[in-house]
Amino acid sequence: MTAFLRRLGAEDRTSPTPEPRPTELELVARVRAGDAGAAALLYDGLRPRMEVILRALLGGHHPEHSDLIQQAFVEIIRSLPTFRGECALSTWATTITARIVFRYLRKRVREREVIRSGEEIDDLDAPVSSGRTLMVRNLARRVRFHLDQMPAQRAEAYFLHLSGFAARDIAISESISEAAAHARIERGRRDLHARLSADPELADVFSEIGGEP
Amino acid sequence: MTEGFDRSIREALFETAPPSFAPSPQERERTIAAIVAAANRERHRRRWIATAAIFAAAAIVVGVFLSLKRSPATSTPNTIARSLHGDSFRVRGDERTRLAQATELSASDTVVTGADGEAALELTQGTRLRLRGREARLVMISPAPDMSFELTAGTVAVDVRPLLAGERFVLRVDDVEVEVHGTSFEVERDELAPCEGVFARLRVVEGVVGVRRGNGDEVLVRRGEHWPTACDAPIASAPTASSFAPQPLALDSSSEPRGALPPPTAVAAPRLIKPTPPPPSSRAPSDLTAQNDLFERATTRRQEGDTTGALTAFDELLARFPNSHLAQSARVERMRLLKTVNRDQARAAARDYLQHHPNGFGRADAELILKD
Repeated sequence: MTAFLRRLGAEDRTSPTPEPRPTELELVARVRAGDAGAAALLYDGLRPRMEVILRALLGGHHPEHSDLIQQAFVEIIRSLPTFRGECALSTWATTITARIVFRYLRKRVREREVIRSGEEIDDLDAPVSSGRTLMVRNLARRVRFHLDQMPAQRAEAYFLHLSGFAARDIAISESISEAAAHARIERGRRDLHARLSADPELADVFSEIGGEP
Repeated sequence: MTEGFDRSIREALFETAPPSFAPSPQERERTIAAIVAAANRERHRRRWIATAAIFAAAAIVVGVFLSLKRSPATSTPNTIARSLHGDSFRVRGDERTRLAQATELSASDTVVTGADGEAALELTQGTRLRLRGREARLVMISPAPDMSFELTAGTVAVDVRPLLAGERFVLRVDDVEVEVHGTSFEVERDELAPCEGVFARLRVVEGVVGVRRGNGDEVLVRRGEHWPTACDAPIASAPTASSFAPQPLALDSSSEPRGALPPPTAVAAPRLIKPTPPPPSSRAPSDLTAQNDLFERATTRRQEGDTTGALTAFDELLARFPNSHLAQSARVERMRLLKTVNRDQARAAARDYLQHHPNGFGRADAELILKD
């Protein structure tokens, strides 16, 4: 179990004494059987990685944060029957989380639920340590906006690539070929690059923080 | 552009977001309970599906047995095809039959048009398809109630009558699947001009259709829209709602309005609008530190409840650095602040925002303010 949690990048907070270590597939089987202990292990193991994805796509303090985490877990459980262990469970979960968040963002745009309700805290409001941080957060806001506008598959693939996943992992979790995953990543990069390049206000930001456009 | 660009975007998304709140024990318990509940639901659902599948299999066996006992003469075809113009054929295995007035179609049959040919198919409930194009090919994978077709060449215009419970209508082009939610639409397979990696082009005339590609999510395409949205080459000739309006299958091509496209305004505007960068000489002098300081001052004032101070700082930022990287954010913040104090000024700010950033991230906010 510890090995599983270590691979997922989390501490085992629920089992102080050593116990037989299930593989990921065994853990999945136990969760599917309704084992609450296994569900807790799954939660503790996957949540930190899912947090990273939510923060990257929504910013730090989004009011729907907890609901989206819960939704993502429910979706992961629904999809477990198709998990064959071809990629790490954390990769699988991350892909599903990213898909849930992208779907939420698109739905939110469609339903025009964008006006800040008061409880939503913008990243730009959070304390900053330097002007550079402010600049980069402003860039993050634009990047999120453009990712949200891009065709879903390429935006998701490029985002997952940025999250550290290899094309092979993306291919497995999206049930596509590795070549198709490479193509989606590249198209996503080109698309985002073109959109950011077309934003004259960002020229100074890129020249300041390095990189392009 | 690869590495430097990826590094910048990665830094923006992953390294500068403020830390999120740690989940409370209650939230953890709630989520774990939701996981267990979802697992239980999923288990019950699968059990139910397995049971239903057994009953369905039994019903099919009984149905097949009963149908075999019936005389074939009593069964009525639920899909017929006929030629509208030129020669068209039904291909069944190795057999090629010229379409007559009402040629019956079965699953796996293919309808092929000859040069300048045009064929019509009529299904139960009045759903109609019109196949055209030189050697256009349409395979009927399954008839009603689970109507499924595959277009392998040419163009097909489809008018789906309201579906009954349990009925579906799906049209495939390569790995693209178009599913109907009660509508009229046209699909073309254009081998010469793939776009977004697909040969299919879809334009919806009435209602809504869903498009899936591979195992991807369904995208809804509504009246007047086309798919793929990023492709600027919609179908050359789309059907109108009246294309099917006369009597069923009275599809005389000479009497129909051909090439009657919906007016351009009905077509969804391209989502990406490339703003023209201002010439270098028109740009305000770039002083990033001053821009950042002004923006930070404004947000601090706003957090302290000093709306006037915040507005003043935002105004100063916009006046001194109209092309700042923070200008759009400042306009959005200014518009939101004004909404709380002065509706007219908020509306003016919203109009100003839309003028500067017609496709910006604050567009929905601006439109809501203008609607108020």
